[in-house]
Amino acid sequence: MNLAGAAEERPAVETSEGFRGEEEDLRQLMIRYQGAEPRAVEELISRLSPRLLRFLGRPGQAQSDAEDMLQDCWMRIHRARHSYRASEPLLPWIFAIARHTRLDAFRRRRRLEAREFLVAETPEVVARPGRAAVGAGGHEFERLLNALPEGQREVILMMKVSGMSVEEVARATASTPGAVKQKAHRGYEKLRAMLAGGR
Amino acid sequence: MSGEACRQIDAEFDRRFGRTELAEQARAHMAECPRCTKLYGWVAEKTTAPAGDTELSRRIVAQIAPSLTPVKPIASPAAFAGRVIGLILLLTGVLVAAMGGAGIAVMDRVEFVGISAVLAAGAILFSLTLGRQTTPGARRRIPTWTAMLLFSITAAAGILLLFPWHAEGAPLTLSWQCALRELTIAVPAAALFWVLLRKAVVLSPAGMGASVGAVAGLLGVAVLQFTCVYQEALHLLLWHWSVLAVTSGGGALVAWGTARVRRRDDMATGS
Repeated sequence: MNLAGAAEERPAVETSEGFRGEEEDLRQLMIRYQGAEPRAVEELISRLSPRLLRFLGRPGQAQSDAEDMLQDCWMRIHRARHSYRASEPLLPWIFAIARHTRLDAFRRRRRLEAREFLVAETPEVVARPGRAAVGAGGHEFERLLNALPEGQREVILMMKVSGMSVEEVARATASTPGAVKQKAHRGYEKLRAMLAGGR
Repeated sequence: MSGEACRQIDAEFDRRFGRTELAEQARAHMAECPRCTKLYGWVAEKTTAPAGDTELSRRIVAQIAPSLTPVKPIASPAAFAGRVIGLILLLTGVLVAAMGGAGIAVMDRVEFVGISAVLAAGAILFSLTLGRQTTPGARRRIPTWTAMLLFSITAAAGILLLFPWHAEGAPLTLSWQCALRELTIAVPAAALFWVLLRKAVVLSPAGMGASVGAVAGLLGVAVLQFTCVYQEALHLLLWHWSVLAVTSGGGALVAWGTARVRRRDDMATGS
């Protein structure tokens, strides 16, 4: 297999250092957001929304539901913006709020489902053009991730997909670094086992 | 499949898969191992953020814009904890002065210093736990419930070591009045601590409620410790310190219930 070729075909992956540099940029944008600078708000939203959308969404979920959740998440971030302090890392703060947005949406959905009647046809899940541009492999990876317990899934998503460190994930999940490492390890072991089993 | 090479792939994965440049050995392994190549490809694909949806971003910005005003960041969790400790000290001083320090007169020096140290440790631990819950994503070395459990065990051990188990002729059944007095102090104190928390962003209502209950309960325990004449382990554990469990549990239950009702209301109004 030609790895160099494969790397060219794929969009460039951010490096660890890239993640760190970006974190500093985002932190500066957040400070300007607290100062009510509209340009900073726009930039912060456009830069963080794809990552948040990925964290909030689930395969099989209607795109509009994920977008509603994203909007809700940004409104919560907006209402809580005074609680961010410049000396602290930004991503754990953002993802702690996103995590609770997801939890609340899950609870709400569960409550609604308990009251719903069975309909003859399931509403169609619509993928809008130009969105969720992941290949078949990407979908399969999502499927594998979804087979993991929620705690392990969110830890792996934050670490591997959002580029957060163990310490940052621990902050975002109100947990300890040791517990995060354990969850990530267990999740990763399960992923490997599922791959080996050809699931 | 080479185990060493697989571990190297894992190491790359553990470094968040944030690089396209693989080590030589991993690169060679990837050329032979379809499983690792597949996994690497998926994660690399997923790690790459898609272009932002400008229409959606615009909608969110438009929603935020009307209420976009400058805000002042809240105090750090440590500063918040400092305020809570200050308030506990002040209220304890005022209430002990008002109720009379009969307990201080009964205790010997070792008991007084020992129990004061236990109370001070509790005040610091609970205030820091509460302070960390005021901001999302704050560093938490010990989970709230673990901190409470550890402190309870330490406090119980301290009381058993410091005080005699039970003095002859001391009343036990009528001592519920001590617990009632503590609750009378703790309930309004909890309301006062909630006022301090007005700017906090509450992500875990039950945890926050338990912490507020614990801080308020500890205030009641501290006051009664210095004002009650029955300084014996059985009385202290049964009628003083047990109140801490009641206030923590009660605080968690009230906060959880309030959040649940609020969520239901939000759902009913569709917001």
